[in-house]
Amino acid sequence: MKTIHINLLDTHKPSSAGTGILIGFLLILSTGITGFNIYTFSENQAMMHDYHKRLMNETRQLKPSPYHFSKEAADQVAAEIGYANSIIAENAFPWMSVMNAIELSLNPGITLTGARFTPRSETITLTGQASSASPVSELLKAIIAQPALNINSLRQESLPDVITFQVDIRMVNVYSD
Amino acid sequence: MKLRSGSKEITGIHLQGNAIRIVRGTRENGQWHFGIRVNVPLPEGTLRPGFNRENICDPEAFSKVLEELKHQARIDSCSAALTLSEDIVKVMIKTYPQLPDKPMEIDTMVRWSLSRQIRHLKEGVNVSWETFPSSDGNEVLMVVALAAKPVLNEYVTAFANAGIRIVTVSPSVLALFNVYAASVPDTGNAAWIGIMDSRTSLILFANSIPRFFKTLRSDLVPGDSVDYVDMILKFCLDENPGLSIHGCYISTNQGQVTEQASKFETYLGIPCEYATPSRELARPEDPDFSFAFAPAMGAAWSINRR
Repeated sequence: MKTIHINLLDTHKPSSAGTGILIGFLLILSTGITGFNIYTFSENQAMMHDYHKRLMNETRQLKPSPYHFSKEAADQVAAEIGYANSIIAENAFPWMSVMNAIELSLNPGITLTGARFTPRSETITLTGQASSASPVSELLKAIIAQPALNINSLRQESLPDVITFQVDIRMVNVYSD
Repeated sequence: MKLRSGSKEITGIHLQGNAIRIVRGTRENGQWHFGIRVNVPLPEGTLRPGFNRENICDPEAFSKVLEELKHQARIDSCSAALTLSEDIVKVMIKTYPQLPDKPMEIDTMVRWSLSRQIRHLKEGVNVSWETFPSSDGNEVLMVVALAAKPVLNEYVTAFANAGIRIVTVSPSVLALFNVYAASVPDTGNAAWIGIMDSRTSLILFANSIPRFFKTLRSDLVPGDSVDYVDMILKFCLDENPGLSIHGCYISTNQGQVTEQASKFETYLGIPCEYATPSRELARPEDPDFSFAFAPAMGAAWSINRR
């Protein structure tokens, strides 16, 4: 008859041998990863050292520049470039300022149907429709209020349900800023 | 079972309500000889063995007993197998249609099936088992032992404080059975009966599968060992109607064996013979063998078979 083995201190949890094997495996794994990291680090260090060495050698081999600039000369060049930029800016048409001015002049009840810009004559022709005379009047007031815009002429036609208009606007001081 | 060559010296401790017995054995010529056997009585009131209560009532007295035990056994510190009486460890046989694969799942299943017995044990219970699949594969029988965790901790800690590291804890009835297991035949319905000072126990095997277990305290009812065995056998037959027992194998004190075997046979009407210890242990006639120390020997022997 076979013997009966009971051990009440062995509670059928994962065996210590199994736990030991697992811990051993993890130790070996972590040691391996650490070793690999150290190896990679030393490889990178060696590579960096090599690059640095090559860079130093190549730097030594570079021929000296034939041009010599003093600080005063460099400052003068910078000043000249700034002056050239300001001339270009003065001659450029300030589209953004003009467009902003027109946008600010528009009010509810107005629908723009066209806008023609003529930079040479510094004029803008706006055409549009309004539900009544009042919004057109408000538009004219708003245009006059803009420092960059003056009104040259206004043509208006009253139809049964809508008023059509055309405003010729002249731009003033457009290159001043 | 073949023994593996293990440690040179093995130690087993059998704790009873009124005494602690310790054995130390070495292997010589293929046999374990327990040359050191010490019995130290426990002063009254030191222990109150129980399943779910504080067992060591007088820790100081218990500690002194352990020191005396170590002194007489010439031990400084050691590892030992402890065997506890059935007052402290419960043993039962459970039947399941099948078992899960993982020990943790088996543990959960066994605990669930024992939930009625262990639900009041708030601080936990240790469960251990051995499985016996039936020959037709339709069921699995398990010898299950359980002990309350705080009670086990009490003993393990007390021994550890005395320098004795407890490595296994087993029920004394099974430690005793293991010593005599080789005497019980593998075929037929065989009843092993262990008669100790304090308890009489019976394990019924059907073709080497344990089918029934019962243990009875000797001080519960008046009578001698024959009366107890008769009582247990009748209980066994009531529980297993139609069962016929082919033979009884009795482990008891050698001095009473011859007389008792014939008495049992006559009284019970079942062929009875007294069991002999495993060939791997010293023979009963050997001065190194003593029935009173057999549970401790069985426990010590189990260390080598872990």
